[in-house]
Amino acid sequence: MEYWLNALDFACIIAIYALALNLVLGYAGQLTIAPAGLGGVGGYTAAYLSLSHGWAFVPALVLGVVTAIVVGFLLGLPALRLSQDYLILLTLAFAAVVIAIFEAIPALGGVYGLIGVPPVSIGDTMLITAAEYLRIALPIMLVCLLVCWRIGSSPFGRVLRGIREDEPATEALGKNVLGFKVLTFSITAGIMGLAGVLYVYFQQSATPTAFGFAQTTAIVAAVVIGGSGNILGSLAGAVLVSFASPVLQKTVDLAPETAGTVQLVIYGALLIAIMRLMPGGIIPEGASLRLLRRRGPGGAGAPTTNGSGEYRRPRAMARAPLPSNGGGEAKPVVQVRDVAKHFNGIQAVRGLSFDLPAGRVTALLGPNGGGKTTLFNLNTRRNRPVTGEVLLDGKDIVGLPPHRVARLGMVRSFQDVRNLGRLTLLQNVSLAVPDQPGEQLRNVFFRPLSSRRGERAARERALEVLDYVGLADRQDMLAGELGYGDQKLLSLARILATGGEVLLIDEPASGVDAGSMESLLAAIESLRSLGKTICLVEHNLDVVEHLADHVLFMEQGQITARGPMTEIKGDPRLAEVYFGHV
Amino acid sequence: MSATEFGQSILDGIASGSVFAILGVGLGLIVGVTGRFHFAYAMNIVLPIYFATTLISAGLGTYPAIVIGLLLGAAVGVAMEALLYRPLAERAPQAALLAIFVTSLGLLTVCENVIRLIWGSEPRALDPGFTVSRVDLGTALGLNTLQLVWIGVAAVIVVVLSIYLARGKMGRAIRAVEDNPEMAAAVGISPRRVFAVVFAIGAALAGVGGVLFTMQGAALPESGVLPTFTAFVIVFLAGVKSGVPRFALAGIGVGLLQAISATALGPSWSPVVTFGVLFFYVAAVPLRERGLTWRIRRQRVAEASGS
Repeated sequence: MEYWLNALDFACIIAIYALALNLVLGYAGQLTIAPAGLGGVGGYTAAYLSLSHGWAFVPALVLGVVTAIVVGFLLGLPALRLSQDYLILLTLAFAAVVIAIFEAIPALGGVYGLIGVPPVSIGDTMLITAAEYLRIALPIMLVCLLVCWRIGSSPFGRVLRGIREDEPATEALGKNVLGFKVLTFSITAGIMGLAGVLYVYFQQSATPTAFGFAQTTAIVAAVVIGGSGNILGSLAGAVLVSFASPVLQKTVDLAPETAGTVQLVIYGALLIAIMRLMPGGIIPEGASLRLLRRRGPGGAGAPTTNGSGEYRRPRAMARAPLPSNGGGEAKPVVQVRDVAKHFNGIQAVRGLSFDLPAGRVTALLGPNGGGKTTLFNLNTRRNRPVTGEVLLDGKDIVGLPPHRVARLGMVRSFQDVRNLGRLTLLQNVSLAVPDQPGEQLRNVFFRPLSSRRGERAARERALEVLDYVGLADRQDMLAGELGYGDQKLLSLARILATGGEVLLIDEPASGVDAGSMESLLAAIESLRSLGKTICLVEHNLDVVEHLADHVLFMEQGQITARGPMTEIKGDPRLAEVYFGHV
Repeated sequence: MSATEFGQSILDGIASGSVFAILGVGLGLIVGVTGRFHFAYAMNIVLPIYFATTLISAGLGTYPAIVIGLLLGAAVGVAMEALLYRPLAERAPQAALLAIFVTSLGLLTVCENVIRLIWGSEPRALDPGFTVSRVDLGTALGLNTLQLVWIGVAAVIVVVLSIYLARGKMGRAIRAVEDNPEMAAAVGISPRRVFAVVFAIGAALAGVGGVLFTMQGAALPESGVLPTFTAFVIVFLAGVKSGVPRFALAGIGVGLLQAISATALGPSWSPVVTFGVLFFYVAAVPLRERGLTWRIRRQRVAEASGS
């Protein structure tokens, strides 16, 4: 019995690690191999305090966790600005340095580690046997489970999944992705530190191997085999990883050491097989959701298309302001002033100036490389203008981080839509709703009512917008399963849900078949009737003629003509520049 | 640290750095051309040692056994690419990094423990087949004959491989794929074949490095992991798409760093220094990128005010 309980204790510890790693890897999509290293930071801190300063379990645990959080934060700041491959490398270097430091410092016991950590005592009772240790390991694991599940299923968790699916697109919707990532990294570092402390008291020693690369592999295995992006998967994975060896010892009667080796072969092979055959793991993300869907069509959103699935003209939204673009000169909402931009030293745009008048559709036309996406790139981190001013409602937004630009009311869509494929339509659009209380962890944990109200409001708003573009009947479908024309509609719905007043729409018609085109044009037209200020980049001249109030023709980073489409079309020189012939 | 100690640690650093250079060139070729995060490189380092020592105990001569071991090791490398990595990359190019990374971890775990099951956990020694004696260089400095062999082998590999990549038909194809895979495919170079060749060369070089190190000490199933980490340090310090000489120089640099820090701070601190350098180097990547935009901006402002 003691034997199985021991394995259960160990499973609890691996589960705590795996829950934390799942948030980072499964939800936020950040490839880190630091878990065991962060556990080591927590574990060694507690072991050192306990052995050298006689600290009791609880204060040692608290300080261990706090140290891990601080180290995680300091690691996260540079790490999370990096691309995936550099992130792997940096966390690898971190893990190796941590172990090397443990082994190098004599006060930490060198390669032998800190041995003889006293058992946990609570009050007068000492927790010595495996069963007794389970009395703290299991409740702590359950608390971690609850915390991670709560984070994962909150709007905060939805942002993390958005980051995993498409970081620039999520940032362009107004989410401070770096902030979300660093916060997640720090919190999970604390949880990993906690696991490390528990492991130290479980083994009654802190050794370099206990926090080495093999341990990280076990934790990654628990997450990946169990199912990344699904909290329950991590529990299943942890049990699998920790129980393989004891089961082998008892059933096949292997010697303990051989069983340990065979266990490693088994989960190494499982890692390979899972990646090849079922990348989602044994309990894949959204398994419960799919189960619900199979049970029947359902829930809040009733179908809004008529039976044939034919597109229904969107109706104006209740909350939207009434159209106000009758006659007269519209006030400019966006003023681009003398902007310059460079690619690798080549000056792509120089001295570019133009306005976007309020409530109008402005189309940017011209050959590729003419600087049409200058404005759009304020909403992403790539190719941002270097000098000049872009005033949004009179405020200069050049140099602001993309999410700030979006929050100020200027949002963009992407030519290649960049919807979040493994999120449902409803989640895609809900994510875009600004100022959700549930995106802040203190609300998730300390003001649950407020975050639930916020979530309901976000959901309603998202449904409203989905209904507006005519996709509400498919709200529970995954965005990746949608046809291309509908993807374009969904990307419109997303920028609409941000509530931004200035909508930058990148090639809405490209790649769209004739059938979807009509609904797309209708949707964009109705956006204008909501009073939105719209800027289009589009190569299809019919679309431009149909939608645009006026056209700016751009060549080599300068505006060379402006006016209504009919005028632009009539100019033989522009036609030649654009089409290469008259 | 006296001047003699310092001088000796430079010599030792160049010697062990030569082996690191071989490991770095092998991994650099794999990462640079194929883009695979091949952690299981550790197994490419260790497996040929086990193959060779097994053949030796079966009665084969040392050097034939080593050559066969290296060939088998290269075949394992090709198999890893063709059977495991490639299908993942072809199925989902976007998600390939995670899939290949996890597969590589799994592969590492499986191989290491299969070695334990087959050959046990005892250290494996590999006799170099000649007596290792000290060669004096100057009054108090010197290297042993094995260290000289390390340097010589590394030099030959760097020269031969550089010529192969510059002149050989396959070598030029490799460089073409490294520069621009789409363009290479468009002119009829098969990336599959190139990747297979790269893994063969990379795995063989890993094996050479492993064999050379083992001639001095002994190998354990897990012995490949730390050198693999070090090889990653070398590859990224040199720059992933570097040429062979640059990887080799970075390898020697890391060897020097380890030897000097070991002499100055004690051997247990040398991994701290090695991985610390990598850590700060990578952590500074965003700063360097920002520094670049900042410089451009300043330059533009100067231009604008000048005109």
